[in-house]
Order: sequence, then C-alpha cells, then structure tokens
Amino acid sequence: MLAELGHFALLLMVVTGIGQAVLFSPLWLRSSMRMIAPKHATASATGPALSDSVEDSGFPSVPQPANLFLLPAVIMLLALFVEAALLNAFIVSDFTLPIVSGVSHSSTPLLYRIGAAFTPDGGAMLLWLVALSLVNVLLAVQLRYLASSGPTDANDNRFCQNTLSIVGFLIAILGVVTLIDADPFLRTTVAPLDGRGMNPQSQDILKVLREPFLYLGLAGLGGIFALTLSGLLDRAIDRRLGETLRFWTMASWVCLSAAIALNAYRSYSEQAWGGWWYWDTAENSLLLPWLLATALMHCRAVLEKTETLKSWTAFLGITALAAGWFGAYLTRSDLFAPLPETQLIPSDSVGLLVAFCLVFGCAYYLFWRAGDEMRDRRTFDLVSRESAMFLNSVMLSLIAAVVLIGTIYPLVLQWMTGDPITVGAPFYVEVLVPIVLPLLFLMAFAPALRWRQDEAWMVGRRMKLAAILSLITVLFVSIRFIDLSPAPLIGIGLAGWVLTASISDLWARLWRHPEHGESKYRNLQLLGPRYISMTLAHIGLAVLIAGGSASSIWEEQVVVSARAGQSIQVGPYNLQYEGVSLLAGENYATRQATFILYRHSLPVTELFPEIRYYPIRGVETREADIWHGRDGDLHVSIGDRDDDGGRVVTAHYLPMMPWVWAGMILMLIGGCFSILTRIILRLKKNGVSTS
Amino acid sequence: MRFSLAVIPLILFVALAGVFLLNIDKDSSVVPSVLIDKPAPEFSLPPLPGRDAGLSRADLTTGNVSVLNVFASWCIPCRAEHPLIKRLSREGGVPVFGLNYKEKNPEDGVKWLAELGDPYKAVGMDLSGRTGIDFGVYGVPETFIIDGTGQIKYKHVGPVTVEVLEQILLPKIAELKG
Amino acid sequence: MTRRFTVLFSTLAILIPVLVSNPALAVNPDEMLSNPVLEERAREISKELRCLVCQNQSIDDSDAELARDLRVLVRERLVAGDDNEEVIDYIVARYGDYVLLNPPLKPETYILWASPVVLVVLALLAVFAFYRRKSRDGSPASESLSADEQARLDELLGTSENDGKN
Repeated sequence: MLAELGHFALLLMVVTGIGQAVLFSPLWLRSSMRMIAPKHATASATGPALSDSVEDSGFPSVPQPANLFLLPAVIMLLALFVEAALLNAFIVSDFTLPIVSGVSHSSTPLLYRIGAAFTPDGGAMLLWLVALSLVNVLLAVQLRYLASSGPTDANDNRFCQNTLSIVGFLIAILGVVTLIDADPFLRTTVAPLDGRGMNPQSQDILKVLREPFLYLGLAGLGGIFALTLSGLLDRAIDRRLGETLRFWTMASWVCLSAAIALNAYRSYSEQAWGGWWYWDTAENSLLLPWLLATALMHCRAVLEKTETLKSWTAFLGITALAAGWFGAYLTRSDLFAPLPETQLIPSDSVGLLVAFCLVFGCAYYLFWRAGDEMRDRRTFDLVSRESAMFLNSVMLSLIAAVVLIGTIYPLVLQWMTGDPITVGAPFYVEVLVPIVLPLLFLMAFAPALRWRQDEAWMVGRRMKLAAILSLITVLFVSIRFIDLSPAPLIGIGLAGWVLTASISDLWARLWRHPEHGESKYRNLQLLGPRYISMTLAHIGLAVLIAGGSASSIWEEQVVVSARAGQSIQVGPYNLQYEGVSLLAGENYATRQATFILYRHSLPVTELFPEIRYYPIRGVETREADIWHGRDGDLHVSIGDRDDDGGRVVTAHYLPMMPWVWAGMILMLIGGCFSILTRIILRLKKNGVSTS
Repeated sequence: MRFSLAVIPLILFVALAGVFLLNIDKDSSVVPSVLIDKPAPEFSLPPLPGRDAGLSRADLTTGNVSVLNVFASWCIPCRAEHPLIKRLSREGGVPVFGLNYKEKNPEDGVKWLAELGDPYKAVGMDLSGRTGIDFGVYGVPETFIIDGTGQIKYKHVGPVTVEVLEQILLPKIAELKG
Repeated sequence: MTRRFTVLFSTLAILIPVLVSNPALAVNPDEMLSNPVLEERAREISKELRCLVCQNQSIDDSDAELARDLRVLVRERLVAGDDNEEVIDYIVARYGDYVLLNPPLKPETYILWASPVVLVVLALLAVFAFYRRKSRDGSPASESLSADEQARLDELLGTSENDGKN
C-alpha cells in the first residue's frame, strides 16, 4: 500500500515540478522570447530593470518572494515520502516489487537492504531526485536571503524565479525519466518467494555511502546549472552570480570528492594487489564531473573577483552537469557490460539519454545565443592570480575532455566499424601525465601570485625557497634511486614543489611582522577562510600525488603459499600466518585468516583478511586487511588453498600509501572548511545587520 | 548573424548526442570475435568419462554445416539455454557438437547431460580451458556456427534465447546450407 | 539471533565444500615461474592484457578464472621461447585488439591518439589569443578603457573567444 502511495507521490512530484517550472516561468518565457527576438532586447537595453519592473506589475500570478518556498517545500516533502516508501519496501523486503526482489534478499542485513535501494536504476534516480529537491529548497532559501540582504530590484526577483523554474523543470524531467525508464514502484502479480540478493561486491558501507554523495554532488551541479542558465537568460554572468555559485561549486565538489575517495578506498580494500583506480567507466564518469567542478571552482573565483571569464564560467557551469548526467547514463545503461550474466537484467536507460539531449540541447543553444551578446574583457595580466586560475581551469577541462574521449571512443568505434578496442590505464597515464605535470607546476604559484597583475621577478623571489627545496628533493631522490623511471620521479618532485611552495607561503604569512598594536594571532585571522581552504586543498593534492608516485615506485609484493606458523617478510614488516578459520557472517560464510604483524620483532597488530562466500548469489568476495603504518600501508589478502595444503597469501608493502588517503582527507577538509566558514560568516553578518 | 565561438559547444554536443541517439538500439556489450571467417583452431579433445568419441577439428570439417556449443555444468545461463539447444539440434538439421568447458570434476558434465538430456552429436571435454581460449571463449555459454570447411561463420555469446534461435541462428544455418 | 547464526553457519559449513569453486588470486605462487627474468617479463605482459570479463582490469590484477588461464598461458609461451611481442600476438590472434589495455596505433585509433595532442594545441591557441587580445593596445590591464575605446576595441576584435572548447 505504501508503495502505491509512493508511486502516487512520485507522480504528484512530477506534476508539482512542472507546476514550479510553469508558475515561476512567465518571466522566463519572456526572457526566452527576448532571446529569440533580440530586437526587443536592444529596444529595452537602456533600462531593462525599469521596464521589467513596470511590466511585472501586470503579472499578478507571479509568486512573490514570500511564497517562494511553498512549491519547493512541497516537492521536498513528496520526495522524502517517495524515498521513504521505497526504503520501507526494501526494509520489510516486499518482494512483490521487482526492484526489491532483484537486488535484495530477506537475509540481507538491514544496512545493505537500505544500500541495495540505491543500486538499481529506479532507486538511483530516486536518490538523485531527492537530492535535487533538497537543492531546490536550499536555492530558494539562498535566493530569498540574497534578495532580502541586499537592495532588491525586479532583476533579482526575475533571476530567482528563473532559477527555481529551471530546477523545477529538471525535477519534472528526471521524475518522468524515472517513471519511464525504471519505475521503482511497479508490482508483479506473482511475487517470488525471496529476492535474488544484493551484489556482494556492493555490500560494503563505503559503497553504500558512495551513492548519496554522488547524487548529492550531481544535484549540486544541477543547482549550478540552473543558476548559470538563468544568468545567461538575463545576460548577467556577473560578480553576483559568481558569489551565488560559490556555495554550490564548493558543495558539489566536496560531495563528488567524497564519492571518489570512498570509491577508491573500496577498490583498494577488495583487491589483492592494492590498486585503487582502474579507469573503468564507472570511475571515469565520477571523475568527469569532479574535474569540471574543480575547473569551475577556479574560474568562478575569477568571475567573482574581476567579472571576467564570463562565457567560460557559464560554459563550465553547464558542462559540469552535462558530464555528470552523461556519466550517469553511461554507468546506468548496459553499454559497457561485458558479462553475459548481467544481460539478464536489461535496461537501456533510453529516457535518460533523450532527456539529456533535450536539456543540454536547449542549454547549449541558449549559451550560444547569449554568448553572442556577452562581452568579455580581460582585466588581468598574464602574470597574475586570475591567470593561474584560468589556466588551471583550462587544463582541468582538457583532462576531462581526454578522459571523455577515452571513455566513449571504444563504444563509438565499435558502432562505426564493429571493431572492439579497449582504452585502459596505460593510455590514460601516457596521455594525461604531460597535462597533469604542468598543471602541478602552475599550481604552486597560486598563493604567491597577486590579483590582477604581478611582476615575474617578484614572484620568482617569493618562490625561491620552494624552488630550491623541491630541486633538492628531486636531486636527492634521483641520486638515491638512480634506476627509477622518470614519470613518478617528476611526480614526486612536483608534489614537493607544490608542498614547499604552499607551506613556505603560509609560513611567511603567519610570521609576518604584525602591525603596531596587533597580536600575532591577528596574522591567522588575516589569512582568511579562502586562503586556508585553498592551501589545505593544494597541500592535500600534493600529498596525494607524492604518496601515489612513491608507493608505485617502492611497492614490494610477496606472494607465497603459507602454512600455519609461517613468517613472511615484506618491507620492514614480518607477517606471521596463524591459520584460517571458518566463520559465519550475517548473510555470508567467511574463511578468515589471522596474521600477526611484527615490526622489529615487536607485535604491532593482528590482521584478518577474508574470503567471503555469499550463498544467495553464489559469489565470493575478497576482503583484504590493511594496516596503515607510519611510513606505509601493509596490505594483505588471502587466496585459495593450493595443492599441497598451503594457503596463498599476497602481502603488499606500499610505502607512503597513507599519504594518498591523507591527501584526499585534507582536500575534503579544505572544502568543508570553506563551506562552513562561509555559512558561519554569513550568519554572523546577518545577526549584526538585523540587530 | 556573425559567427561566434559560442556555437562550438552546441555543435560538439549535437554531434555527441547524435552518435548516441542513432546507436541507441545497438548492442555493444558483446565483443565480436576476431575468428569470424577464419578457420576453426586445431584441437582434439578427449571424450566425457564413459563415452567413446571425443571431439576434434576433423568433426567440424566433414562438409556439413555444424554448430559448436560451449557449455559447463557450473554455468547457470547454460541451464537456461539448454532446452533451446535441444530444439536447435532437432530443428536445425545440422550436427550440434558440445564443448564441455572447464569442469571442476570430469563427471559433472556427464551428470548434467544425464539430468537435462543430451542434444549433442559428440562432446569434447576441455578441462584446462585451453581449447576454449583458442576459440576466443570468454563467457560461457557461447555458440559457434561453422561451415563445412571448418570456417567459423558466426558466434553468439551468452545464453541462446528463443529470439536468437529463431531470428539469428536458424536463418544463418539455413543460409549456409544454401 | 545466535540461533540464526548457528543454523546459517551449519548450513553453510555443509554447503561450502560442495559449492565453492576454487578461485584464483591474482598471480598464485603455483603459476609463477622459477626463472625471475621470465617471471618479470610475464608480469609485464600480463599488465598490458585486459581481463575480458572485467571492467578495464588487467589479467595481472584480476581474480577471474579466465584471467588465470591467460596468465598461465602467457607463462607457457614464454617458457616455450616466445618473445614478449609473440606472446601478445598469440593472445590477440584469439581475442582481438580488445585484450590490449593500451590501444594499438592503427587507422581506427588515429583519432583517439591524436585527440589529446589536437586538444592541447587548440587550447594553447585559444589561451594565446586570449592573452594577445589585450596586450595589443599596450595599456596595463588594470586600467580600464573609456567606453568609446572599449566599444571600438570590441568592434575590432569581434566577439568573446575564451569560450568552451572541450
């Protein structure tokens, strides 16, 4: 019954979404009309604000800011109800719903029954809708707030309504896609006795968490898309838009980064060899929107500061969502399924593709027409912070373009010629390293550069210390390890370069002589949240790259057939194999090995890698166990028993691998810091202004 | 209208969307075999336990069109397609050979056939999977159509369904028989 | 709860020996060659070959049954005296270029390999044009032009050009 109510609520949500799109749209329609017939625009160009405010009074149906919240709130409640109805079906294991019986089972633990609700097409789309409805409400709050905090005019009002109208349209179209492609609430008349069970590879807390983060990120990009589009409608890609976009770029970036980090750590902990990135379709389609969001984050700052790079920012604002949407289509559709077994559940996600073409066809058309009219003046020098940020966003977009081509090329080639090829890690590494290295090189300059214009020799002087230190690092490493391949070496050197540059700049700012009468603490305050979050994120990336390069160079692998009591030497560690015991988990049986980890003959910890067997799907999974030491990870996993009774043990020592995880966490902290300080500052300011 | 660089994203987008929309119903999840129109590889496989005749390349080059079906008792889709293989053997008018792929236990294949029925004219047992690799097998079940001279003419990856049988395999066989 | 555990456990304990196939961990010791040079070459080749049933994993990384067979095959060919090229060709002859993680350079992949270069060149040109635009009038960027000058400049230079190249 609840499922039917959920179904109805989903339908109602689509209708409300259309309602929001239409009710807010008289103005939107008019601006579109103006776009199609630009003559009107030139006629009213002298005083658009004035003429609009006069015309606006003729539209009594246009919602005033006060009841702006009504529709978003209704949609939000409906979305939550729909999600609750679906989760309820999974929690009570209602197998009359094929979506439940397809990916869940009565013996699946509660956490994974909830997680399973996110994995099938219908569930994932629903998650996206819920996230988008949250974005909808937040946008309404933000725009209302902006309108109330500053001087309002009819332009603001129109901008606000255009934006909400576009989000309403997105919600409606995604809702329709959900209903057409993969309606989660369809029932079968004959229910199976039990479900087919959740894919054991997804039965992991990190995988479960990944989905909400991914779709929150995509929904955030939806907010950016709506803001950009309504900016384009108004030809107002300006400082204020840049400021409004700030929260959204940061928030989506943080969510997407979190999804990527979770995905990487999950791969790392289930593989026998300690790899964490494969360049497969699912990962690439996570990476694409992340890269574009990062690019957007940088050129948005330039837009906010100097009101330049208008069309570039608008382009990225649209394309970030396009990349995310397209990625969702690629992973959701069955285009890349190599296993015959997966064809048993056919789903082609045609609706998602058609909606994609519709939405972005319109968006790029609008971009073209508006781009014609947007004058873009460069107001900064080649040597300036804007310049560094602009070049950074260009290079990140280049990387995204290459990743996109690498991802879809095999598919397109197979369609065109029937000739299947694979584009794997070696291709990406060969092609991307020459783009990533200059990017890292430039990144180090960011904190040392001044806005607008700067002198090269001044920058050189500021960067002197960093240059010397990083050169020493490279020299030391290359002399010490003479036979290394150059790419990871350059990686380490550049990471060192970014790291030293960031830290020495921070240091110089912190120990700057305080002004008369001020305490040293004042220096910390002067840095500002922007500077701190940027430095954190840059240091994080440098640490990540240093760790990744170093662990790829110095990794040690031992594969042995071990017997109980045997000791395995790997890196600075000694692993003592104690044996395997058969245990039962909640819905799996596991062969769990016990290892005692020694370092310098002192016991450090115990490790328990497993082979799990999930009887419902008849699938085995491997769970490695990892010790994050001071100087490196020890990664151990077990295989099957070999013919003479030993147990295959794979142990990896990955020096500096914790740096990779620490780097990701630092970047996330940087992003969260930026969002939180921003919100706190806003609230404070608000408190002052109202009191 | 002046030409503007702002039109480039639209053009690129339309190109991308066009390619994907035009190919929306093509199935790209199956890797086409490189062995199509090439002679079947040389092989000679032992029989199932308790049977006399194994399977070798000579069986495929008798001048008749033949079908080679790769199956295994541990493969669940094989069980699903088995009735259709039986139908193929009845209606196709061509010999259907079986390649019993990578059984854990040599007896398993025999038991499986005893339980479900044996549509095969002869079955070869490929315990090591090496002949499978020579045939480019990557997911069981797979079904090959081979002409009288031993050339591989068609390969179907995955379970044979009624549609596949009626719309692809049987017409193909009829066409080859000429 | 414990009751359910026990039941599940005992069922599984009976089922496991029957049901569990013997899975292969990537590179088992019994596959490895005693000759370290050959083994190193085998690892190198394995890293280049795709495990057909996985998403973009190499056979060196994959636990899949087929990947294991291919690893063993690679080692056999090496022991038989093939060089790296010959081993790879042997596999490609059976599975096509699809098994190569690094797509080979051939007419079908010219666009793939050329695209990064073309994109970088285009981006460089666009960036160059972007910076050249203002430096022509010689005034420092921070000083704004008068409205007339700006209008004339815009007219001369056409429209915005730092827009999307993807």
